[in-house]
Amino acid sequence: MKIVDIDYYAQTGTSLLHKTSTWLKLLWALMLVSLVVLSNDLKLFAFVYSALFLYVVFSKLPARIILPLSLYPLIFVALFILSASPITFEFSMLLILKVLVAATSLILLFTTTPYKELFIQLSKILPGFLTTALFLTYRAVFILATTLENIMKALYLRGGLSIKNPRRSFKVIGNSVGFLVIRSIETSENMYEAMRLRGHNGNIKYLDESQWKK
Amino acid sequence: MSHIHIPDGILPLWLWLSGIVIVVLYLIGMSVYFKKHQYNRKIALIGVFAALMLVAMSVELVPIGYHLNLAVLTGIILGPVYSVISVFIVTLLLALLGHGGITIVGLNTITISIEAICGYIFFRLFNKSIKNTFFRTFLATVIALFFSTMATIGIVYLGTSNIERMMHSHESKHSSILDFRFLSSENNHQDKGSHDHDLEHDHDHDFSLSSSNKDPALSKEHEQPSKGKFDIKRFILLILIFGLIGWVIEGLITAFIVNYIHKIKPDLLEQNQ
Repeated sequence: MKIVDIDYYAQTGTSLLHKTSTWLKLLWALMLVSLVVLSNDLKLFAFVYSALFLYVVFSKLPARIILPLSLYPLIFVALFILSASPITFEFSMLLILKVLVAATSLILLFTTTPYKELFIQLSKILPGFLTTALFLTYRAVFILATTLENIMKALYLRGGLSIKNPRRSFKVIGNSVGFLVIRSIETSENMYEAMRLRGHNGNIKYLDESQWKK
Repeated sequence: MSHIHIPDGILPLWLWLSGIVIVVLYLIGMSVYFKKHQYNRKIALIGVFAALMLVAMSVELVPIGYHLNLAVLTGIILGPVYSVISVFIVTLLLALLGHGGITIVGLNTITISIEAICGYIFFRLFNKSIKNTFFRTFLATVIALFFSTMATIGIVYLGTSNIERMMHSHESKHSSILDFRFLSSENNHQDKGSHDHDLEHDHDHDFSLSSSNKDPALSKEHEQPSKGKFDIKRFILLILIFGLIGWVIEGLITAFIVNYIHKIKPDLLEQNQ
């Protein structure tokens, strides 16, 4: 799951879904998830997933990112299928399609909606502290992902990781992530200080486009 | 690593709804707490630790979905109260990435929070008995992961009835189609040569009567399809096989991380004592 890449596509994409209003997309995702929860109709799910699949493949969306991401929950479904006996092919397909429909619809929402737009809607239902924490999480992800990338690059260049010596590799990974933890705490303090200087009083207020224009 | 992100559409409504209710109540309580105490510095830390978990999760260790979790580390550093909020943020964002169901956000939060809370508790509990930070963290992590895995199994066990109901409803649909095919082929057979094979037809009729009269259990089995069952023991076995490798890897890496922090900034590990 490459959150940085997904955010890039959400911000810069030009597909039809990118132009659709966030509320409509949320409603659409909610509808599909409700369908997954309430229905057990195999043909319906086969139809819905085919439509979603074709849309992802033939639209301007990054299918190489969306499709592999949507397949991840199948690991859990595989455990379910292996634990059920006797299981019919139809029932296995129903489980797989249900999971694929739910995952693909949510991934489509996330890859076509800039996080700011999504958080504007979420801030209407979530408590203030949680909206702030969500926003800070999202900002910090980019800072930490860059730091981690640099650390990993340095490790590879210096031959820090080796399958032949797993103990050393684990230690190197542990020390690197430990460094990242300390850096994260410093980042959180810097972010907090910066917010205080800008008059932060505990809540982050999002302005949508119409409010900006005023 | 220990936990499994349960997808949408598998667990019953009452189960995932109760998970959401528990988490919402917790968040309302925390909202009141933050309004009273103005702990904004903590909010920044919660957000950054959630980001740290997300970044760590993006690094796949073994290409079948194994990744670092860092929930135990978050529990040790943030403490049990704040780590739950970090875990909620992570599960919410992961659900938007198709990594675990959006309806299961509550239950997944509870499962991973158990990991963070148990990690915190056992790390503190072993403080006096085990002086070696590395070994203490490793043990606390493995025990926490064990409890979180048990929570996942417990949740799936509670949802077993729903899985079996789904299987049965699907089987009965499937069997009705087969029944129709059987009857229609029998009708065709009768239409084609019923007047030519009266004796044979009578014999068939006798056979069907005798089978239903002499052995009711057999006829019942013939009428109804074999009912599918969710084998929870097999599920536990599969999860433990997959989980055990994860526990050791996560335990070792968390132990190295905490050992490093203990050497560089020991005050971080003592903040929530």
